[in-house]
Amino acid sequence: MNTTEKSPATEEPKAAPTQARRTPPEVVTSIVLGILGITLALGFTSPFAIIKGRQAVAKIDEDPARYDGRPLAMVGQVLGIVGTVWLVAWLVLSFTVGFAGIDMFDVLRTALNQALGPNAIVYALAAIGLNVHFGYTGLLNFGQAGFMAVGAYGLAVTVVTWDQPFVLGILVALLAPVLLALVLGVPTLRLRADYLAIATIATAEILRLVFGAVETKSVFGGSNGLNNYAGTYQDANIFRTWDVFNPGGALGFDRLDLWIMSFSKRDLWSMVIGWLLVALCCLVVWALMRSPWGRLLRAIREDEDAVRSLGKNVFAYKMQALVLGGLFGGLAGLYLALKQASVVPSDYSTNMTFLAFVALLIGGAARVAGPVIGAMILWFLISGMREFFEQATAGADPVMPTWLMDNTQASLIRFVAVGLGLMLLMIFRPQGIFGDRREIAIDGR
Amino acid sequence: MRQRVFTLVSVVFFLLLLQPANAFAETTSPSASPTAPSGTPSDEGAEEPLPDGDYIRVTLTDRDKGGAPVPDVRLTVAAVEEGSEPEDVGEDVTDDQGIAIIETPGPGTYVVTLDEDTLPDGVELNDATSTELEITARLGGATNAAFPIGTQAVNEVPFSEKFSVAMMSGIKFGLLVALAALGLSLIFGTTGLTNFAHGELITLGALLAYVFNRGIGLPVIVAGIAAVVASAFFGWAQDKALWAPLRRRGTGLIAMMIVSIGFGLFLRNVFQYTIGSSRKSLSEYVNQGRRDYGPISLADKELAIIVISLVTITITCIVLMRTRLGKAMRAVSDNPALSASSGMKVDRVISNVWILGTALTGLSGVLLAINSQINFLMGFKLLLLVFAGVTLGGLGTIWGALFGSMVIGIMVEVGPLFGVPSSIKEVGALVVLILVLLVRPQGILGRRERIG
Repeated sequence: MNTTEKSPATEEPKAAPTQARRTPPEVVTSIVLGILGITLALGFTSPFAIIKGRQAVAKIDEDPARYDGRPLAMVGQVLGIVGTVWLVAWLVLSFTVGFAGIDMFDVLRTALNQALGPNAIVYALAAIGLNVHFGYTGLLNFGQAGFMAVGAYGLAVTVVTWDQPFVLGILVALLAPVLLALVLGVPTLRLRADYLAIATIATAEILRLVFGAVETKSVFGGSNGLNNYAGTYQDANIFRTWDVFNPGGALGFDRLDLWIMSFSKRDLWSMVIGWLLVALCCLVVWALMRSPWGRLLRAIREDEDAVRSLGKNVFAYKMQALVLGGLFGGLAGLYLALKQASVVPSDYSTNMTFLAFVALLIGGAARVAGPVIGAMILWFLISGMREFFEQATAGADPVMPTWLMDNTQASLIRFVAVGLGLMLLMIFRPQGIFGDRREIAIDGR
Repeated sequence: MRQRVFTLVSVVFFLLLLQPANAFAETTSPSASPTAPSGTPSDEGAEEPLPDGDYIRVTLTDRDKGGAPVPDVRLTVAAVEEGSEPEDVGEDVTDDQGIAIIETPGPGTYVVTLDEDTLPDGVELNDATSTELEITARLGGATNAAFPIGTQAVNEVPFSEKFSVAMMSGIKFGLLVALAALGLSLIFGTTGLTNFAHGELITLGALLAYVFNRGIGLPVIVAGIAAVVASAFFGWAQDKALWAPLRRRGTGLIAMMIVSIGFGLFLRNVFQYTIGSSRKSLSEYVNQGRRDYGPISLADKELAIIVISLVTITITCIVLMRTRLGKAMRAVSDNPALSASSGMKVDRVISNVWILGTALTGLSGVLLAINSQINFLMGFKLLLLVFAGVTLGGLGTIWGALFGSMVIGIMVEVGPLFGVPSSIKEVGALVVLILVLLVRPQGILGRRERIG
């Protein structure tokens, strides 16, 4: 890796600003239009969000000393693009396929529900962990599903198999990924990137196979997994007993309707806990990565040997990064186990790691918000696509000709698209939406 | 300023929150429950302990032992529809009461198949028993079914015989892995790409054989040859359309590796899209009796598989050792820049490597299809074993790939004799993979160089 001309790991020396840099007003306009576009305005304001975003970027690039807020301008543009794509798809389909065929409202509702719902949170947490590994330290960990599995099983086994209190289960769930990181890291962190990838993916598969084996059924519950451990978590659901949104009114509501979205009380509780966790993790990552410790991690990513020659113990820092990212992964597993109220070994397959990587790469590695935005966009797209094609193939006389696609095939299209998307993303925009191309450790050694 | 943006954003969200709970209620149809897609988007359906929807509860009993339950036997349920092939819907392992619960999509006719390999040791089905049971689920919810089987005790086979049987299937499996590993090793050696889509190239071979055989109606042998040729073409096309442009752009190796993950995901789902998730078999050589050859007994097809792989591997090795092409491949793998500057067409050599590598891998898939069945995940499940074989022998060395794969194949098949639980017999190979990476990352036959 070359480090001569650029050193993104160290903070840019600020050229003694004579006046505070300000955000051009176009940025705000673009973001507001973008948000309106994907929510209330049904996409109609989105093209304008792109235009305003472009103007803002041009203005900032022209005079970077006076203006900042480029990432926000990019957010506006991206929101605009998402909304415009949706608008075009919606209009084209409504008029060509006919209104009877596909209810685009339904598609949007499902997509938004999933983008804000618990599933996106699971992937956001997992991707935050991968961000620490891959984005900041350059460790290619393909075994994130393994960290998630030990987190989830840590809780379930403690509560169900060993019959211990819930709180102890949470502690075990947080301790298990740390232990896994230590055991995995001591030998493998010395390996080259591709070897590390193979070693971690193999570890995750070993864990999944052992958890699902018939022989260990008495401990891990075999292929059916474990359940009946999340009672404490569900009982703590504030929405069950107390109507936060309607104090004094009739107690209890079945579902919360937010514009076209709708969440059950159970999901709502999971979302509150989940987004708090995500915020907390982001805060930790943000704080750590601007510290000297974080700068050192990025330096390791850029040139390990250079850091070593400065007398730093690279191995120890890599290990700390592996533990921290693994802990976030374990948290993702723990959260998945809580919100789903059952742990099933087949959930923790390699696909899960790959999808978490996709989420990270969409948002942009080595950015605090990258994995979170990425997970939301990923879930928006894949659940929207699923709903769309399910509707297109449903019924006796489906919109889509059956020789082309039937109902069982409809749910596969999104993964075909995810695969293609990952390839295209890696080829054309490896830095994702927010990232910096020079900061992605993809050049190999 | 930044602050103002966030205030605005939060105001918008707050407005959304303030929407009266029922303002848009008419747009939310209650039938579509948006929270339904729970869990992960993984393709494997999660089995719930007691599913909410429709399921079949099968009780497996041994009628020769007065209806005693038979635990730990894998049952697979496939939906049967007139005019189409059975489609797998799920599988489960029977518990202590002999009960297995399998979720089904709804009412219909299903066939429950028993996996004979999972029967307890020393027990075999007797002649009066079929391994299949047809069930008609008329109503939603639970459908209960009893599955009585008859078993007979078989004479405990002496260890030496068990060992030779396991050894033989280990050698066969090892050779199949070796073919794929050779392909992976060739491609890795010349391009440095750790190809995570390699498992899909195995599946592709098997799938093409299936298409040529069942779809076009060619005999299995012709279909197999055609599948290998088509695989070779796919290798060429893949290099031309994807990898060569990436090399020209100077894309890093890790980026290419991630691209190969995407490509693998793409291919895997395209395969599932085209052939569905059930297991398929070819039209010929499905069930063959075994013949005795001295201490071992082999079916004809198994013998053919062993011979074909041995011959192919030998020819490949001779080609790589003796011919100009082989020399060129080794030169490029050693030092691409030097080869290019001494007048070799590096891109042509790499293209040839892709053709050869994918053809070998495709052949491995074809032979696997003849050996057992075809499934869209078959290659992906083998991928880590192939990696294990290649790494054990030493990445990028031909003999290493061969040697490592044989060790892995034999270990996987012989392991259960020495107490490795048979349902996770692959774990041993993966543990070896990790241990080798730790102790001797260059592999047993690899050259010593700093790679860690």
